[in-house]
Amino acid sequence: MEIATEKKEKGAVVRPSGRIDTAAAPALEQELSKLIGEGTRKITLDFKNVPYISSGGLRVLLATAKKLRGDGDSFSLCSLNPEVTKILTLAGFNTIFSIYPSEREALATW
Amino acid sequence: MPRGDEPIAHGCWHEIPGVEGARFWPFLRKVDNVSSNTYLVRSGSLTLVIDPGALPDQAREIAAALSPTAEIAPRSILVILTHAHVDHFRSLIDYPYFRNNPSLCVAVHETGARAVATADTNLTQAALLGQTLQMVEVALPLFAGPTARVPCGTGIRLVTGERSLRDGTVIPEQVLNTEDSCDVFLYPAPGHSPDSICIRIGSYLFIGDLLFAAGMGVAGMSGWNRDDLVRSIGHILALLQEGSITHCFPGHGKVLTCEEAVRVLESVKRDAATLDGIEELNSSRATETALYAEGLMDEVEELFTIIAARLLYVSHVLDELDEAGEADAIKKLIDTDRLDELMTDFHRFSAEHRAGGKADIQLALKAGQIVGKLDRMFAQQDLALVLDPEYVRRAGRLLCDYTTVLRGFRQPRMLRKTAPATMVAGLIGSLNQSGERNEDLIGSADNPAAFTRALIRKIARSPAFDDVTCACTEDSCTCTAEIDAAILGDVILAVLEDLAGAGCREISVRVATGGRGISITIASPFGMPVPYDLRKRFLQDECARAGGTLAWLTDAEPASVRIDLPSPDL
Repeated sequence: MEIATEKKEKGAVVRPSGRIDTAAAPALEQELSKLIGEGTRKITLDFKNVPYISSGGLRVLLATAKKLRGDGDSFSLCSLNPEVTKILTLAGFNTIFSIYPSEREALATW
Repeated sequence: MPRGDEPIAHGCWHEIPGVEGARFWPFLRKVDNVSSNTYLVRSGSLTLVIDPGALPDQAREIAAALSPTAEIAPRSILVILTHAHVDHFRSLIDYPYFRNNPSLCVAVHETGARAVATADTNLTQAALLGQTLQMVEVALPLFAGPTARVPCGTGIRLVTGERSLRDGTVIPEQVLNTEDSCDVFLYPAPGHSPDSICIRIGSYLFIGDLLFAAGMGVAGMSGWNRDDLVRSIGHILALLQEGSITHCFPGHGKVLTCEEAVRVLESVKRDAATLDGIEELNSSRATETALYAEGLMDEVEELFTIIAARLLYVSHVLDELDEAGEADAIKKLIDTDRLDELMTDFHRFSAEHRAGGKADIQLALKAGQIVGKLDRMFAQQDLALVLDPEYVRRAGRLLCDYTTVLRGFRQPRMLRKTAPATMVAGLIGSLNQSGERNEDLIGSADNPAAFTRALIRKIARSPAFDDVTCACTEDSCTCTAEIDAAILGDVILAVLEDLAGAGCREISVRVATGGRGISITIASPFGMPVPYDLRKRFLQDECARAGGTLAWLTDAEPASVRIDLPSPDL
């Protein structure tokens, strides 16, 4: 899995590419922790190029959501493919994360 | 020198207990269908290569161990096959040392001799493994009757007779030797293949693939015969019970003591007895099983991911409610890291298969290995206490079905005369009502343990199917069809999940009669996701197994999924 991060004025957009499973999850966790450690409080994960997320990957998302729930913080997901949408919805994660159809719509909430 | 319980080291010369001057050298591999173990034996002027295997590195090591500069002087070498499966002898074709060696001759049971001499890809399993084959000349066919001749100039003698065992069993026996060698005893052991033999030298018995003969992906291979197998195991057990054999050397995997071999063979005999009516495992069956494995593993991965994710969700909510202990216990119900590892392993293997690097049978067996591991880590009863039991049951059924198929049986189904309208209404009703009701939660408030259990079930309940409605036309209610209600229910659930998972609401399920059958139509005004080809094919095959046909009607208004079931009542 590759990760591209774009820092913006108010926060950062993180774009992972590839399956997010137990093997790939630590790299994503490291990237997200680094951003939060640097003081980034608004993060959008663009899942346009993520074909699948395992429960190991979801654990990283939950941990990040926990870190970003202060006033003015934002953590959102966007551009999910149907398979990832289905897993998040059926598992109930759509009630925990803010999910948007596109990056533009996600950034509009910052 | 190994005596009884001493380990027998790979790639080293050992003395064979009970036979003066006889030495042996084992090349031991992990169990797979790529290449067998190899055993070299040296006694006087006789050098045996039992099963040269199929890998270049293995052949190189064997050649080095046999080279004149190594332990032994140049002499005639007899390659003897425990049976003519290609993983036991491919090096004879591929590796120059064996292919072009004038001082080497091959011995194999006469049935196997015919198979290798005619490059029979079925009996040798080359077709099953997606391999081509070249002919191999056999100088010494074993158990070939009185007309069989030993090759000239080798000094090898072969005497045919019988051995009477203490329990009254009489088994055919050939004794092979040279003037200055020990005796090598050969016993036919058909079943795994018609040409299987066991080879006894001193207190060692080389047993080929007898231990694996009832295993998944092995039983049913071309030439396999259950009755012969049961009889052969009986003979070998009787031989082991004579007391003079200390170790058994299988065609794959680790060396067993006599006691261990008896235990395993008794278990193989029991397993073989359950394999009545299995289908032949040939290349077309392997292709069919691999296709089934691909679709099933995709479905299994999704189901297990949803189950693990749902547990993670419940655990997260409990954690938020300061129920850290309960949250932790829920999280531990499934080992998500292990689950991920297994699925990643299968994806890697599957990609190699798609690239042509793995045969269909290997993919089918890999799926079987993963399914077995998932089954062992899948605590169905505990999970069903937390999650929707239908999810858990469905995952369990998929694992069980695949194991059945890999054992050689047809995909199981139980077609029964059922009223589909009643069955569908019941299914939707249970989806709408599953989980803990508010009144149950309130009712248990004064009992902390009961309240926690109720709370967990309340949190675990997915609201995804809350607005699914079901309508049945009046005439459909009494119509019956021959269906497997459990499988059909799972197909309907899978379609509903596709819809709910895509965020479609107001899902309707309508059962009606028309033409000569009953139709079940699933639709939502919010759209109808069409799954990718692999999942589509899997669900269509499952629906066919349940007694119906499944189609995505994307041009209909609204777009829908339709299941048609023929009805004898119409």
